[in-house]
Amino acid sequence: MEGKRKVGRPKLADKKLKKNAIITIIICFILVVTLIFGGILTFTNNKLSKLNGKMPAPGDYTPPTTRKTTKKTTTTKITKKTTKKTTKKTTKKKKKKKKNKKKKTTAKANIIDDKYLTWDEQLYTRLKNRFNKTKASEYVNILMYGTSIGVGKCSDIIVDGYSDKTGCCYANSDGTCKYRKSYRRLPFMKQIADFYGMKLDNRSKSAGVGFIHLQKPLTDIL
Amino acid sequence: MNYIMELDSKDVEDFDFIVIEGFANDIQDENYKKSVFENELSNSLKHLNSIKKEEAIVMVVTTPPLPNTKKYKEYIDTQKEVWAVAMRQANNNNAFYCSTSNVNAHYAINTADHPTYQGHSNMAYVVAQCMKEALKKN
Repeated sequence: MEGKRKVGRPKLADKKLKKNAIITIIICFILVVTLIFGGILTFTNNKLSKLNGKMPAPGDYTPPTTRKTTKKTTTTKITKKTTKKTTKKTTKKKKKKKKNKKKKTTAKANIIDDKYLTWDEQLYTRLKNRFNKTKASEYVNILMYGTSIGVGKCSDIIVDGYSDKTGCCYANSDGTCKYRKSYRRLPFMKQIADFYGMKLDNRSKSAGVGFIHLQKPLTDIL
Repeated sequence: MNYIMELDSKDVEDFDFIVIEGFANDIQDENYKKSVFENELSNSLKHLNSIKKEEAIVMVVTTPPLPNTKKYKEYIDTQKEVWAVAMRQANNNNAFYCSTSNVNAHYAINTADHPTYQGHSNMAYVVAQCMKEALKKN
């Protein structure tokens, strides 16, 4: 009897152990299955949203991996060196650009004196009354006329005269060449056009004479 | 060479300012007499007054050549005559005369304090100043 009991007891314990093990395995299996299904569902959802043209949620966005991270450690040293060089160059360029900008501002300051070209409300009201202007941004038409424009046949460079076959000339009253000039200086019409940032109107109707039509907001002129 | 006569009414009617250069270069030629210049400027201004529909401000502008230059020494006397003509014709034709050279101009601009504005190349500055002053006077 004792022997039988000794043999039967471990059988019962084994059964319990087996049961527990089966339960844990089943639970684990369910968990794994749910995780896998969950993963598949989220993946398919993302794909579907992309196909539908919907933007993913901000939290879902993963930035693309850079080359630096994918590259091997042996190549990273070289890439680091090159990147350092490029960064140095770019910084130098930036500095140069800044310097140029400063120079431009100083050159402008030499030409235009703010003291004389500031906006004057009183003058604007006078002009408004005179020309029925309603807005400060209204354009003002200015005709400038004179001999210095000289755009007759010197089409490439505006000079104080016109160009015949031999060169640029000052014009006589009948339009013939008065005398030639070897030098070329900027005429005042060109200066004015540059001053207001305008291009010259080349509608010159006779040699050595021309006019320019400027159209600028009053605030830019006065 | 009547400059303004070349313009028709369509060209002129829309302008607020009409700026005419003082033609100082032309008088440097001996054949081109002061009287001829005076007649041309006078006719031009008269014609301009007859065709302009809006009350455009007409300005005559003269500047001297750069001081201490050959041109300045050679032509300063004849140019003074031109500036006097410009003044007279501007007065006769309701034009506004601006000058950096003629003290008797409606608006004499002193560029002594501004070396960059002196000479022929200062016209842009002169015109801008002249517009302001012309508005004040009108």
